[in-house]
Amino acid sequence: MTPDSPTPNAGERMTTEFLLLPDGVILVQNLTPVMAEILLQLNPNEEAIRRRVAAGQAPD
Amino acid sequence: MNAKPPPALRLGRPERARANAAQARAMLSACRFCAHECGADRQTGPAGLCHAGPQARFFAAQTEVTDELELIPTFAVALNGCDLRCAFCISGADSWNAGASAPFDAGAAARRAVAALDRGARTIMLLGGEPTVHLPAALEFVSLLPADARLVWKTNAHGSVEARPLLDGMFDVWVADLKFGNDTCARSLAQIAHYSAVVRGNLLWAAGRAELIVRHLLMPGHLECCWKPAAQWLASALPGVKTNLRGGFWPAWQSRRHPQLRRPVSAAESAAAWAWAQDLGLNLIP
Repeated sequence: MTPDSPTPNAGERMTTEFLLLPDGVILVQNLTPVMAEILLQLNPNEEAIRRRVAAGQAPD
Repeated sequence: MNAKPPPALRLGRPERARANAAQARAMLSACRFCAHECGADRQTGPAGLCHAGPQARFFAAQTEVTDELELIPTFAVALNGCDLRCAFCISGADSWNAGASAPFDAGAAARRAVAALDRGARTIMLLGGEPTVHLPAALEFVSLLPADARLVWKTNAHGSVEARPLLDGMFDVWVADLKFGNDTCARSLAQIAHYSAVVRGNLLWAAGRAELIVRHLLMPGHLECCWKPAAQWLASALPGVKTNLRGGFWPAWQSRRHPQLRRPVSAAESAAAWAWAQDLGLNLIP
């Protein structure tokens, strides 16, 4: 989503934003539990994401 | 230094929130919720430096795991509109444009928040933009939430002294930004005057009224001028306060207008920032 994109249906959809840096680092905003699990599958060794997946197990 | 409000403060919170919300709504005719204290009449339409009217709008409401580990999962509700104009604002137009997105229905949002709690969310977080701009709606939302829910006020800490009594005892945790270490950077990057005095005053006040977590987003090229003075102040004025040094600076929105902000934070800057914090004995939390 770009900063200028419209936001109809706010609250009806889930949004996570990513920024991929040239060195392969991925920055994330508004990380949802579901997206955290996907990121962990991409990089199972990422401890920061692992802790957030563990914290977010319960809700959707 | 982090003083938890006594449990008695939570008793009757919904009722007190309802009363505070009514008071806040009446104050919209000469709004002084933020430290601009512009006194604009927001009863009938957009006005003031935040360009917000009487109707709060929201651009996100979802369960997230981005915030401090001790707060997540949190059901986060993000309101449009802000009193600051940070060039690097991660939510850009959504934060700056108080008229964008969907009208905020406190009842509907509260029902979703309670459902999220039932599914395992640990907290409910109100943020923006800047939620202080929408104190009436924010307090109406609080009035509809269970008294024992753990509520988080995510703020830029640029509220007015007048707003404090309305917020007192409403939120269990304040997650407050300390964005800049000096007034020159605050004016240049966020078009804000007297930043340090206002924000530091609010942090000191909040520390005595709720659990306080101070956030600083490390900015590229602003280690010496912003992080170091901010960290030094925290160490001396709020020793032991929970501090989240965030390293994921993202050159978003209008960052390109400021040469220093056109890149992410380097690994060297990040390492130096952490070392500085550890040397000062800051209570860093993930």
